[in-house]
Amino acid sequence: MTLRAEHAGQECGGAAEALEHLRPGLELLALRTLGSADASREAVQETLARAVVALANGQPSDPAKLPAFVAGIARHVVVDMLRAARRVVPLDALPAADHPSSNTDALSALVSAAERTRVRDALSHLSAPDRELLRLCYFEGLSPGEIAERLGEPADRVRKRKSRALERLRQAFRGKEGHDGRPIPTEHSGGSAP
Amino acid sequence: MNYETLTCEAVAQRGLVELYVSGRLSAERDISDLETHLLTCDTCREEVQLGSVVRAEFGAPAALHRVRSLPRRGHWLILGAAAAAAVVFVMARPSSHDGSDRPVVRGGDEGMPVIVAVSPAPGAVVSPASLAFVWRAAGTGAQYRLTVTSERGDVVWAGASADTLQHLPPYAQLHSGESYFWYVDALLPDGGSATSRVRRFTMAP
Repeated sequence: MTLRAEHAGQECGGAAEALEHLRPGLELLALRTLGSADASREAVQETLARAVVALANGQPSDPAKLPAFVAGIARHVVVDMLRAARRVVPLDALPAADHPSSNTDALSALVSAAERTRVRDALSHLSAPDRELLRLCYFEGLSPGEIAERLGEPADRVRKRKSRALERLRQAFRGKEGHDGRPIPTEHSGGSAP
Repeated sequence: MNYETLTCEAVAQRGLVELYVSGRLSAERDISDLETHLLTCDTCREEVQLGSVVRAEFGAPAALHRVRSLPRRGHWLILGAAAAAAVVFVMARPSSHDGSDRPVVRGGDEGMPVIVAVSPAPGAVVSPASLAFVWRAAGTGAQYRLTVTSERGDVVWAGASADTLQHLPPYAQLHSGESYFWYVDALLPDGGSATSRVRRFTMAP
């Protein structure tokens, strides 16, 4: 290996490390569209490979724009993969059971089985109003402001309720929650605001 | 293309994670901005993960890609409806209404054009084998969203389709002897929307 090649290799290694923290977000981006964990991993790998080359070529000129730049690469990669898949077999021609986006919620593949179990458990211990609040948020797609309008509650109160409920799920998600089976205190069940 | 840098505050203020997880963030620009933000924001990315679990818990996964490909000109409203607190959500009338003065048949208090629900008929008792949801077309190119809820209002299935006939997937199990509600919302090609009345049916024991 020549000195120059060795130097280039070190630069690539450094670039790859610098990009590694973007991997989880790239997986999310790819998974949403591709609907398959395997395909999204492939897309992320290809994205990072292209990004390393681009960085070695001095792109992007503004380092602050690196995330947007890499996200742009990822979108190109995903589109390329979708096009390639359509050349092989039209998605519409697949039996419904084989369609990547019809069997599973693509985003839910971001969560491991163990994490999902913990979060579901924590969800089941929320008060009914807080479960409904989260359902309105993530199933219906309503913002806390819109929910406040619907429920006739102050927006700040809805945001606080959402924040507290979400925090319980976060603790469970991170494996820090050792629930004792008791309902989680909320404003509706007599708990006090922090 | 130059994408704006979002802050967590802006994401929360606009409810972008909620829209994204529910599959209703349809503007490519918004999706791109949010996904770029998610690349570097662990907190918002974690909320997406948690939200996806919540979403899966409250109903079988909808056709995410189809839903988000619909133009978002309004938002889904939550309306109290039907017996036993069945939750009804319908698409709000778009702000960019085409202004036509054609007569519309109102679907109810929500003041939207009505979709005629055909089957199951109101109060019908149906077997799993014969369960099929049928409604009359709201127009060429309409996209429909079927929602089935339990008596308590919990969504047991929600799915989008261009067809006026839908069967539930095997994993959306309905229990024999229990009653459910169903309704359909439609997004029309001109940006308008329509909805059916809520219908009740019971699974045969």
